[in-house]
Amino acid sequence: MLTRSAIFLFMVWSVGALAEPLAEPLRGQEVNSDVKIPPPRELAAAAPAISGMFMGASTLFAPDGQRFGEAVTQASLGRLSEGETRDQLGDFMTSLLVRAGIVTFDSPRAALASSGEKSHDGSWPAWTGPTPMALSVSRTGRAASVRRR
Amino acid sequence: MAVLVLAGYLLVPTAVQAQQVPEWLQNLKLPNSAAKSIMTPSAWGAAFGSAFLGAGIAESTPYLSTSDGIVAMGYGMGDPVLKVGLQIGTTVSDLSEFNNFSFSVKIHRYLARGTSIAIGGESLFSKDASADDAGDSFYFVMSHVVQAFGSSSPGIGRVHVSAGIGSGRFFRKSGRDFSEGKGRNGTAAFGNVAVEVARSMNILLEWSGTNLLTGVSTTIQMRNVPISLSLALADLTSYSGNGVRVLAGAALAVSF
Repeated sequence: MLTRSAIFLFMVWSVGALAEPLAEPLRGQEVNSDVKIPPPRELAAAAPAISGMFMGASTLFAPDGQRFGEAVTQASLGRLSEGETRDQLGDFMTSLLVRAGIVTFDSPRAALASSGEKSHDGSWPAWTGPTPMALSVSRTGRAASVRRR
Repeated sequence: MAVLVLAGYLLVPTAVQAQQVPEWLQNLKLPNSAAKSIMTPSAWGAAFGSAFLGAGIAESTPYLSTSDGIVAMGYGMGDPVLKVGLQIGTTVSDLSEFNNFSFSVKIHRYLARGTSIAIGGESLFSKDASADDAGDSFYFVMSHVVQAFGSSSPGIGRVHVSAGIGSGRFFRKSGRDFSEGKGRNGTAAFGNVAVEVARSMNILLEWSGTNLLTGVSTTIQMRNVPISLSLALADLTSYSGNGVRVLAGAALAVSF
């Protein structure tokens, strides 16, 4: 951290020292003009500074040795939930692992499909919450209605 | 044939064994956390669960000595690895008046082996197009982290490159450039190189389509909030503008 800060400060100083003699004579060339001069193009709006920083800092772009390996191994063994995996590896790397087939996460629907608690008439089990319960009633009612006809 | 070779090169290995980190992943070089460019876009972008805020300032305007700057903010949506990522931003491009807003959008997709592509637009829906550089600017860009050399560990010589083509500010010079005999159009093609010289620190060199820039960028962590700091020299050649300008910028990102 200290070394990096020192290097950055040196860079700032160097750029400033270089810019001063280059910029000084040019200030004398200012010319009044009716032409509307656009403001200086941004450093950030083009999003390189932002997205470059963002993508690196909010995701673990750079695998960090043992920690990375351990997290991947734990995730591939199913010992980490999707949330835990994303916390440890970042969204980008987690998605990369999913795409490569190294890590898989069971979606709620997939869990239900493999659940032995799925009832025989195709309705969702009651423990899944109010919406599936409502569906269950509806489907059962509709099936009964069909049988009556 | 070349397309097939490229497609084969970029293909993600799928035959991997669970419970171990495959070698290709251990050796994969992805971008570091510092900025990859100064004024040109890269194909890396924000994804779902993130927002950013940044500001930039230039010590002088081309052909004038007045300084000005911008404030930008935005957020990400989607997933650039599994589907596509979408980055939406808004920019206040005239801080002295604080009256010129524009929008930017970028759709980006990670391919494989440290390669990403993006298409986007900038300075969109600007109230006064002439006050926001060249008005609407659209681009296509491909970014890559060189896999052949450097280390996958942070801080050791990764090389990031981007190349793209665009309209608007990537192509058109200012009216003043034209009146100064510097031509009406730039190259439309742009590109940048960012070499990692220390952990989360890049030295930058880029061609914006109308001029050459160089700079340095680093990212520091402050209470788990990453803050990117960049310093650059713009208009290094006489292809446009009237001399070297100093640019500086800072940005922070939050995850939620």
